[in-house]
Amino acid sequence: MKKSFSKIKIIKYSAVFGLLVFLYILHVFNPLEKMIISFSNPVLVKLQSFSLKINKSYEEKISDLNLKSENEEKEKELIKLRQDNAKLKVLENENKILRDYLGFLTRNNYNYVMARVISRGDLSSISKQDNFLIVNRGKDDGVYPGLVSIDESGNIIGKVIEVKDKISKIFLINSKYCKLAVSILGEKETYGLIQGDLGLSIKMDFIPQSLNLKEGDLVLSSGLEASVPRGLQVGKIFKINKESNELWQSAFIDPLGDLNNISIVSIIIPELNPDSLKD
Amino acid sequence: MYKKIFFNLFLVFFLVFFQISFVSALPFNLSSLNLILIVFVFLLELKDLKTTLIWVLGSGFLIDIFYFHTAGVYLLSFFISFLFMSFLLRHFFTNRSLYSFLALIFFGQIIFKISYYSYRFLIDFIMRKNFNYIFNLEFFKNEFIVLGINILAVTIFFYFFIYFSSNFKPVFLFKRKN
Repeated sequence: MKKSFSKIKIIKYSAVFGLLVFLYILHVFNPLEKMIISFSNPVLVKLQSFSLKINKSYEEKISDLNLKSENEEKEKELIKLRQDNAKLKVLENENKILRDYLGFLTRNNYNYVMARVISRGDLSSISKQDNFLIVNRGKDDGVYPGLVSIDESGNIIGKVIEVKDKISKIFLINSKYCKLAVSILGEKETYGLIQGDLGLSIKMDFIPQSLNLKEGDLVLSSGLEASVPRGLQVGKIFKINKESNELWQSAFIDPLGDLNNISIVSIIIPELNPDSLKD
Repeated sequence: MYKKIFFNLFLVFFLVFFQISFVSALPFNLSSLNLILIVFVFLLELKDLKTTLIWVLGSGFLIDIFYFHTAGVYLLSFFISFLFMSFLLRHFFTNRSLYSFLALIFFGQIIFKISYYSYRFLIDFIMRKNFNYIFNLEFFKNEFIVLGINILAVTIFFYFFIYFSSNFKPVFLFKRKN
């Protein structure tokens, strides 16, 4: 027969858990947290990049399968080459990302912090309603909430929402928690706010009916937020909801960056005091 | 005693790192695999309650550190699931059949999700934040997929363990005498 806890023990253990949660709220464990995060960072980076490799191979495989019906011989050759050069490609890819980052960031004279992704998405949420990344840079590296992160081509991929000493949480732009002031480069420059739409796309609401938007119009950061530089690419409009009886129209935006395969991000740090943003 | 605790905590670290870093980036819906809850089920069946409690405490604490949740959301959700699963195991599934494992992961996962979302709702309510989850059809469809994936994973692990252990009975219930 299985052993079970007595009622007293259950109460005792519940009290211990309650106390732990209470101490957690009071940030008593902060030094311990910092220590754990510091020593686990390299392990997490390695595991994440290994998992990402599997993810990429899976995606390549899926795309390969589609191509197979078109050209089987080329496909075989490609797979063989891919296997031969797998290791080299991963390194090359990483190098390219870093070079692109460097090129983009130095060209535009941005202050930045490069960070590696150590985890993505909440264990409890498959629905992607809170689509986020955890990166290995935090308060200690000058990161604070409200900063944007970009990919190697300079496309905005998300916004830092929470930070700890050594890590930060970046909500991707298709997450409901990520709101960003943008402008649309159409016939006339339009300002507005975008927000993730259940982790599936990005939506921009409250656009005046008088404006003539087109599919394919480019969406850029507006610069109205102190912590976000103007002119960073966000995405392109792929659908417009315009009803004649409505006061406003809305647009759906396709992000330019690849939000699924991110291993390195760059967080743009403007030259201003983060404390001034609190007001 | 302490050696055992430290050894278990070391394994907990490894499991949590594996979960948050490796599993989270896996393709398809494999990223929704809740390895931690699956390990709790196996520990409850194979080990004692105290060992499982160490795992519950360690993994809940670690996950909360990495996921930025305000007030030990995972610590509490895992603890509630653990209490519920140990209650079920004590009163309804007193054997080591596949059915017990599947029932435990099924109910454990449901209780875990209910605790998680209730607690987050409560915290957001207290802190006057917007609770941004939308419990629409898509949400429940996804949760159903998660449940299916975890049940499938338990089945695979169960049959995997059968080859290495004689502690399991593949299908039929087996009552053990004291």
